[in-house]
Amino acid sequence: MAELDPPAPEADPDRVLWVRRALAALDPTDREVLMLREYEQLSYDEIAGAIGVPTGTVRSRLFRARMALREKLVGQPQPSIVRT
Amino acid sequence: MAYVDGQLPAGRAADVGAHLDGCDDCRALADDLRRVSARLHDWRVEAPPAEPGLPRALREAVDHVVDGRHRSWGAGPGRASWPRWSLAAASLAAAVLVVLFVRPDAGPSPLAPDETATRAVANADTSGTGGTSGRAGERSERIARSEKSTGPVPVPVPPAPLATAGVLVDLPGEPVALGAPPPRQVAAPESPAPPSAPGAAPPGVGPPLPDLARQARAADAGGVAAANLAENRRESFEDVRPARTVTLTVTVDDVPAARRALESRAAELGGRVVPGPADPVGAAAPDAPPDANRLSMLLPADRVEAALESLRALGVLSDLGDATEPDAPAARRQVVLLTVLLRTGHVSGAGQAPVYRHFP
Repeated sequence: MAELDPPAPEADPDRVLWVRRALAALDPTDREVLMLREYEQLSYDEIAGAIGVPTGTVRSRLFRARMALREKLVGQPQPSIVRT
Repeated sequence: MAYVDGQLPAGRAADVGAHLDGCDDCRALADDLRRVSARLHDWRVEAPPAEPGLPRALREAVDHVVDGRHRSWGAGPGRASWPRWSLAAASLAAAVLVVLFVRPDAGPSPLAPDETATRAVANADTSGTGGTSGRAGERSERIARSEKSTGPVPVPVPPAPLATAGVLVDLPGEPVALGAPPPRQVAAPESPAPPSAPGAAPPGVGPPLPDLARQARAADAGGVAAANLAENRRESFEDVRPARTVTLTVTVDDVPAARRALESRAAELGGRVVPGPADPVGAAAPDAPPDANRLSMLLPADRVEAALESLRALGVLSDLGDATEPDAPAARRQVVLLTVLLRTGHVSGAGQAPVYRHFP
């Protein structure tokens, strides 16, 4: 389990690009749910109502999205993957 | 997962908390998932300058539920009420080409390789149309054209639940001809860019499903998958022995990604995934061993064609079997068992990343 790095400045282009690419790699349906949860702070029921799927589907999509991001955002201390 | 988000009832949350106290693995997983959320907030993605013509349906849906509530971010002076990632969506829409695409009413063929790349772009813009299953023949997929691109980096695009809210994306410059039968595909004048930046991982690639299911159970002390199935079961059908069974093989580029897409699609069609060998209605091959590549689902009978259409978009179909039990009671005719064997094969264009668009 990696230790949580101190928050990076929002303007750090490497960090932003890193997060963007991690998000871009998600399944679009999973990403949609993740965005509504993380950035809109909607509850699971609210997300379900907004996009018209069962709450259980919201749960599973959110879990998949975070698991997919887990390695990218937590397991790697430096955004070296953007330097391609 | 729901525990981490504070979305469990108090009793369940207490149970999960007690479990986490005694289970290092689950506690570590929960901590990791919390860190993912923290990092998404710490390294918030800034969108390029705002573009008009946001996905109206999604905007209205979200605005409705967050109206009057405090937003955890983006509430500063002068900031638009629509979140930055949606502005990013509009920006990407402005960076790609416009194709207005309407599926034919019946009998769509598998995607040709040259269609696949175009659909990859369509996916980035309109992939939230899962609720449109009842209008398979009327769907439009829309890709935006714009004269300019506002950012050097493609950004993730939140899909718009177009038909879920009953409207289509209304981007500037072109009215959407709802229900009109435009050509099957309008050729793009140039090769569209992939939705992710060069070097990024291909979309839809993630940990294999069995591992996810196991970790879901560990994290949620009850199981995301189980909860999902239970929810679908309540709203559809249970213990109904289907009179019709359909089996087929689908050759896809990426089996885990295809499997995830199918599981989502099954729920969207009002069905549910069932374990093949232990299937209460009897799988097509009940004596077959559990197969990670085999996916069985119960579907409402009137959604089978929509499911097959989705499968055609996903890969190349073969070995189609379709058996209907004669003289079955009407109740049993309302449900169909669809068993899909996913097989790895190269179905998209040479050198292209596998494309799994969200089903229309």
